[in-house]
Amino acid sequence: MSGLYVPQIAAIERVEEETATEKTFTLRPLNGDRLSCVPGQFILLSVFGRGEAPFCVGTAGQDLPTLDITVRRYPGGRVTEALHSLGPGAYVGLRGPFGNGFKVEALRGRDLLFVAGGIGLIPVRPLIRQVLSERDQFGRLVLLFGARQPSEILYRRELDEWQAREDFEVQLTIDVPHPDWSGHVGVVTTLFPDLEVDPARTKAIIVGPPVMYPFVVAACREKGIGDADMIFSLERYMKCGVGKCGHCAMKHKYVCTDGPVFTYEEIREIEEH
Amino acid sequence: MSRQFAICPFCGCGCGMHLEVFDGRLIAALPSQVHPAGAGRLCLRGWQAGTLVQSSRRLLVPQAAGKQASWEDALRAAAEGIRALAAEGPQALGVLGSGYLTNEEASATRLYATQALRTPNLDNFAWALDGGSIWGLEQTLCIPYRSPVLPEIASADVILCLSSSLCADNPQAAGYIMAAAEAGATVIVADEVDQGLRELSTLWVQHKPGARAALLQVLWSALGAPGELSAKQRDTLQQAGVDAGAFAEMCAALRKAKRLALVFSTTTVQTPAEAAHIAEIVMLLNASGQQEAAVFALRAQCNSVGVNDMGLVPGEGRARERGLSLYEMLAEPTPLRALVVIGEGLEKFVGEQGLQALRERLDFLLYLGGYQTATSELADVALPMTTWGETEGTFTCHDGSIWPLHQVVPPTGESRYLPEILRDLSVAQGGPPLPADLPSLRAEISRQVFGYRLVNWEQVAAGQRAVASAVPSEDSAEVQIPADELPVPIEAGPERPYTLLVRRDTGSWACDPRARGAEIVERELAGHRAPFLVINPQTCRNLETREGRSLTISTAFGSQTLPVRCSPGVPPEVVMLPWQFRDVARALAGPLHLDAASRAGYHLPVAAALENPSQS
Amino acid sequence: MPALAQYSLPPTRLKDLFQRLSQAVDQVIAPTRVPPGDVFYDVVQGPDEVALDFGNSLVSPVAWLYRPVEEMFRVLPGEPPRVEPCGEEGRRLLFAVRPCDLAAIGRLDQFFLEGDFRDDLYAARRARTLLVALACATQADPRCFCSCCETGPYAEQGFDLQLSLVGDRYLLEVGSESGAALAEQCRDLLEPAAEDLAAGRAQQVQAFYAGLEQKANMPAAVRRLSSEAVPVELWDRIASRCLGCGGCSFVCPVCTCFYTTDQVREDGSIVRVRAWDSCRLEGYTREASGHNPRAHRRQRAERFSYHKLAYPCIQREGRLGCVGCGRCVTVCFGGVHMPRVAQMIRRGE
Repeated sequence: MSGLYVPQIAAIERVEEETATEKTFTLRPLNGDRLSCVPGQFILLSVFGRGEAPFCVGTAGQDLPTLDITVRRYPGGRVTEALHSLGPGAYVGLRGPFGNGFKVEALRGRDLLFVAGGIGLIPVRPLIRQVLSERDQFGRLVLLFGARQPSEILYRRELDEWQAREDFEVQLTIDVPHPDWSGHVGVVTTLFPDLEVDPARTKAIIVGPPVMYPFVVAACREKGIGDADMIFSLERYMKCGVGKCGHCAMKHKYVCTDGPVFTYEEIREIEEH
Repeated sequence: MSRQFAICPFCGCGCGMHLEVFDGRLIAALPSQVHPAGAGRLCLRGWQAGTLVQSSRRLLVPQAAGKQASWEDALRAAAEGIRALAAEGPQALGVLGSGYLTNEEASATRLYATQALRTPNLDNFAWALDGGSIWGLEQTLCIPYRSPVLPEIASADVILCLSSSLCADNPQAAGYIMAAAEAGATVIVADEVDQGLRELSTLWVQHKPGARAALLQVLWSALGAPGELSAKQRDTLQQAGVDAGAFAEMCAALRKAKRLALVFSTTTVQTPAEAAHIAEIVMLLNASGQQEAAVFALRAQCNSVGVNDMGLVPGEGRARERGLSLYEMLAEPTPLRALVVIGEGLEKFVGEQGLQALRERLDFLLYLGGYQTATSELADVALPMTTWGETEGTFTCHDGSIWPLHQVVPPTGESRYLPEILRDLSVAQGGPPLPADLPSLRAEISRQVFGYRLVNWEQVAAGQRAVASAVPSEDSAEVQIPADELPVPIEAGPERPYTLLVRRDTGSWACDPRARGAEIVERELAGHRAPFLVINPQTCRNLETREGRSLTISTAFGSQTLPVRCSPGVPPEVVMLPWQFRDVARALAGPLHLDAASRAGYHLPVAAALENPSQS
Repeated sequence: MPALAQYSLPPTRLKDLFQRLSQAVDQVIAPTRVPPGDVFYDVVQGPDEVALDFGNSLVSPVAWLYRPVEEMFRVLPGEPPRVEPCGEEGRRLLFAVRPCDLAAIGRLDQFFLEGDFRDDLYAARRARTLLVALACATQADPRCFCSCCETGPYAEQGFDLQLSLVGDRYLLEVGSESGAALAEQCRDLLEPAAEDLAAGRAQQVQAFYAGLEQKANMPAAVRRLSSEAVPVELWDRIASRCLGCGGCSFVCPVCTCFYTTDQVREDGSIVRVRAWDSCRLEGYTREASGHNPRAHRRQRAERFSYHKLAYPCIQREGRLGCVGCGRCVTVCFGGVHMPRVAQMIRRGE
């Protein structure tokens, strides 16, 4: 059967613990459907009996037999708490992927500055992976990533791999000093002063908690990066993913169908913080 | 699809609504435009009332000793538990009923207490919330109190409102006040904090916490004896923190009023003395023959009036010695061995920790209710009863009008009609077979309850207007009003420069288990489940903290560290704690002050110190 | 679009017409008076249950196309669980729909059926619903303001059939192929429409407009709001009078927001239902993290008005987001209903 709101059944194939509060779930549609997914797209995941919620897809590509989502557990979050209690073999509902995703074409040939805070790394990771898989198509690559504390840093192993690369400048920071941390301390914008960018060549991809945005926008503008070259992936509470339930609307745009990826130029006038 | 008229089951407004049933399920509650209370308007709770019956928090099956049990076993366990303790005499037993019960259920509850348990320890939850002020009104007016219908507020030319919280706790009244203001009425709001109504007022009169009675007393005497205020009156006003200019303006407006509406919610005006002064002002103005004044006391529960009419009151009446009231039953050390709680959880009054402690003091706790609550979890036996939408019955609204409630959906789970449960319980205890069907219960009401003798129940059931005349109180205790009312002394000094005030706000519904099942109401109340303090933004800056961060508050009773929120409506020297955090309230403000005459209870303001823990 | 055909019907034959229309469908929904006297659009069994002496119902008949609560699908537990569709069957006729509600259905059609995603729940119900409109030209409800939204007192399109009382006759207009088929089945009850019927109806309009109490200069409000020239204090003033009941969204025939929730049924199956939601509520935009982009009532007041009145939204959704039905005038505690807000926006006060 089909229907706009009817999920397909998927099985959880693998669960990986990323941090104390985040897990990555690998989902396989039961009917063998292959999925295509652009970085930055999201799915709606149902834990039947608890409800449905949107999550960024961590994998990208055509004809995928499975896809990954990384989910933070929120105390009292009905879907996230229930999902975290599920293990391999459990069944969930899956709709999507939805949303526009990042327009990789528009990034080719440009320097890319990724700025991610906390779980903002989740939607950025598939984009970075794709960019790295076609590394020669892009100019300089920089990732500035901030977490509140070391234990909240996601994808540790992958970050290490990225840091080890010659062709990818990765800088990590944590918000406040911590005994387990010898690296940079301070919010992510404190990494900006030492950063040199060529504003004419640079596209900034910015994803993080909402409090981060105004500061990063200001920092990017200071570097001369234009509003059309700042790219955001927004998160909003949503119930449908297809522009009907109304929850994610900002002025006349819907985050689910017009986004979640917007340039700052597009949302400058409409975003409510 | 079918549709049936009903009265909203939440607060005392008694808004009319239509229940829409589809496929055997209650799906929506929609406002009635022709019903006098509401006239097409509902608050969010009312709009969402259609989701109550199917709430995930319903109690579905009987529980005995913490496990699911059959009705037979559960009833036997309940009967045995009570019979064992009944041997110690009826004084060892107590019964508490909710103001959400229908008249018929309340009547059955009274019969169970008086005929099966033969105990005089009987009371209702509604009185615990609004008893203090209703008592003060009734004793001063010397007649049982009935409110005029709320739309009459809109026809007043001067409104004195003593509850700035109406936007949150009684939108109907707030709506009529706004309508009156649009029509040119003078709206005076006098309160200790502003919870939203100030902006809609013509005159705002700020007074100190605990100073309402003093303010009202000076107002009354000033209205009675025009001219300059005496030095003593001026002194009292100053102690009450009332601006002399604002007071003079208020007096002038009241003197000029042709139709004065005195409006308050029982959640803010809680003491008999305050209400007595309000009644005196009304009588004074009416006595002139030139002015009409009416008092609108807005009650807390949907059948507040009905459950008191039905006699869910201690012993022979509140003023008599015999029979314990709600707070006396819950007191420490408890005078009871067994307690029967009907229709609502006790945690609403004593907090979850308080309930735990009470449970340890009791030998037996029996809960009958429609929803899972902390009380149902701690009870020896919990029996599921049918609720609003699943039963036939009646409510008596604030104005005395009687309205029908119909069964629109079958009982959820194994729940049963309360009077039938009580009949079976009585029989199992070896008591009489109490009346359990509507006709016999209504016959009983008509026989026993004075104001209901002439009620034509068939007409009521058909939706025709019927009014219960006021039920005369058998009590005749005088309200003790000190001749010179002074603000409640608060030992504020350099060490404790703030005043802690426990007050109800928008979130007070968070402690109603029914709200927890309604998706949208639950979502709206999500920020009101964990304790917090409300302070003035300036206080926040002075203490170098910000919203969401925690402050340590200490009083003579104890100390707690709680996150803060800011509201400009809270004066800089006041700290407000939302009412629903009962355990915190007790820890900081101490035990409730019990009024000896009305036997209602309330928190008095206390002096407090605030400290930023990250600075120390 | 002019009507496909016009007929005349003596009022004495209205009940016969109703009977005949009923035979064409499985269920007729018509305005009916329920105790203690409210008018609802409900399933009626015969013409005697129909009430036509009303301004408009507080709940729009749109509720029969977009239900206050509806089941989306059912999940039967198992290894693996199975998903089954939910849905009602049968053809339905909405009788005596007011022109403002008809305009609302037009916007809902655009919203739910057009664009990249088609709402199949709405689509299924819409496809098997016939619309018989009843023009208002002879009875104005004082709360209405269709004059300001160009939605009444009679409809130009969007109906299958439309009845307008003109003098001592009903003008019956055919607005669609389905309507023509219905009219064909009632052919023996109908008479050819005299030319002066439509003209007579047009003459009623000025008197009708004069009977309306609410006035809202919508084009001016739209211009002002769309040019972002509205002072922020205006939203504060509206917010202080908004008690957050959500009533305006629940009665608005144009509002489409919903939430979804999973209900576990007695038989162990799980049903996902959707139910009307309101952007006036604080929890509407609160995220799992606790962050809320519209935490203040002022922002929510602005959101509600913007979605209904701002030009980019009108462009996206096909028409003004207000049809002038006046229901919000009834439900708003604080009197900050659409005509009032439009006026405030226009004056910028």
